Amino acid sequence: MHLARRWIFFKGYVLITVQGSGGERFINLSLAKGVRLWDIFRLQNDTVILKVLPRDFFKLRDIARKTRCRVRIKKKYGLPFILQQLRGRRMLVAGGVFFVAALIYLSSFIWFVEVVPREPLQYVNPINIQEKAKEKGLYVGSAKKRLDISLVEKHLEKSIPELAWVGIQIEGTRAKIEVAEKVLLPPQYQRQDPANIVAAKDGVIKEMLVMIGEPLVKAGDTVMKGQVLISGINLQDKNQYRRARGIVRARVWYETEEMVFLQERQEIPTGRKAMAVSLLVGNREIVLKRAGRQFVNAMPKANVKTLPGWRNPPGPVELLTITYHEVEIKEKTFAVAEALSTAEARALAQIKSQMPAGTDVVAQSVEILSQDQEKVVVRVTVETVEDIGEVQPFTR
Amino acid sequence: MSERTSQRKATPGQEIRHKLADLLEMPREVVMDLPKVTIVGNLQVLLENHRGIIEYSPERLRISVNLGEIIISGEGLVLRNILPEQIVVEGKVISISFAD
Repeated sequence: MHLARRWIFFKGYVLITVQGSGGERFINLSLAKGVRLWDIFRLQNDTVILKVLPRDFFKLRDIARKTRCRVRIKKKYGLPFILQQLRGRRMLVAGGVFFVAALIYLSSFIWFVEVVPREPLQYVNPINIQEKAKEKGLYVGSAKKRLDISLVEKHLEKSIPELAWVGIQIEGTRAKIEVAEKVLLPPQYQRQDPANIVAAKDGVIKEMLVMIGEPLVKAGDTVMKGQVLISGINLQDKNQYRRARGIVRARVWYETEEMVFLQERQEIPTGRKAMAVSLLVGNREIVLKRAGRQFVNAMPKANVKTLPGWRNPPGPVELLTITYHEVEIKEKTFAVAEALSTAEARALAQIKSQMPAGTDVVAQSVEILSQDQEKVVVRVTVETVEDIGEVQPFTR
Repeated sequence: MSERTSQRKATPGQEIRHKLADLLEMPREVVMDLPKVTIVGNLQVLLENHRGIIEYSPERLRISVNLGEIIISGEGLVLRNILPEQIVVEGKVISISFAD
């Protein structure tokens, strides 16, 4: 019956008022004649409102005469009546159809071509990329059907040598050209301005290879950060300048202290999550969906989505999605030995993040600074050998 | 189910039908043409096997059945659906009673 009620929109129905004292008889007679009535309600003493199918309405006239009731249509519901109304407004329907057709037709073209570099472009002009893309059929107004994305990608990679990778994504009517440039030699190495090589870090020189310039230090020397290692100034003739070149490898020490409490609070995600969605309009927040589950401890992560404002300033409406990741709070108790190794591992990780890539660790040592019932403190020292030379241009 | 307390006027014909219903294990409301009332909380009453409406107002609804009539009283009663075999009444139901 409830399924039928949903379909009744397509059949249509009318709300009628039955006025007269014989309302009950009217209902009984309708039933006997097989007229389906529903949602019957008495408004006043002599008026009943009810719903009926349009095709049954004409049968009611007969019944109304017999029971001396007056039947009047109050309201018409459903698709047939909407269509009937629209029949009188052909231009409106034509406009609607035209609009939808135009929307579908126009959405089959590319209307925006955007260059989205992974990192700020240094060598290539985005306009140049767009022009090259046009050669293979990707331009404002090109039909999506005839577009061969991989062809355009390959063409771009071939014709612009500075590009390492090109990826094109079509989002609706917008084409996003993602590009990554090749990493070329930094400009300071290409230039021939006079320069010294100075120490980037404190350390003890282990070995030196001087190609151009005058070495000011030798292996075994202790150098400070900023100290000139290889000079671009000719020592005999102070008026001759060159660009110093060379490799200076030195021992460098890193040191850090790390403290670990024997009792530590840890937040461990359980993997369960709940999402709340709300709409931000100006300063007001309209909640669309509340978080389905409430967690005792949760880590909220907010994500704000703004309407895509390609050309216009961002819209005033934002979609705020908050995902609550449930976490379990665990008091972790370390044994002393465990705490020491944890502290050491964390200290090492911190040092590693400071070291340039490709550095060799020569030696490392751990020193326990303090150790009691509550916490342990360790100092980790790491010795490496790395190139500490840094080009520092100077002016004459 | 051999008691006959629910039966009021046991005519010989009804008695035979009653026994037949027991024998064949058929629902009694089918064999004996009795009304069947299903109530959902105080929100909805589904009445099967009725014989028409005698009186209807939002506070009181009298429905003719085989035994006599069933009176539903309540507030804001609506006849949600009426079919030859069943009536669905919704609203705030206060009582349902039988009368001759």
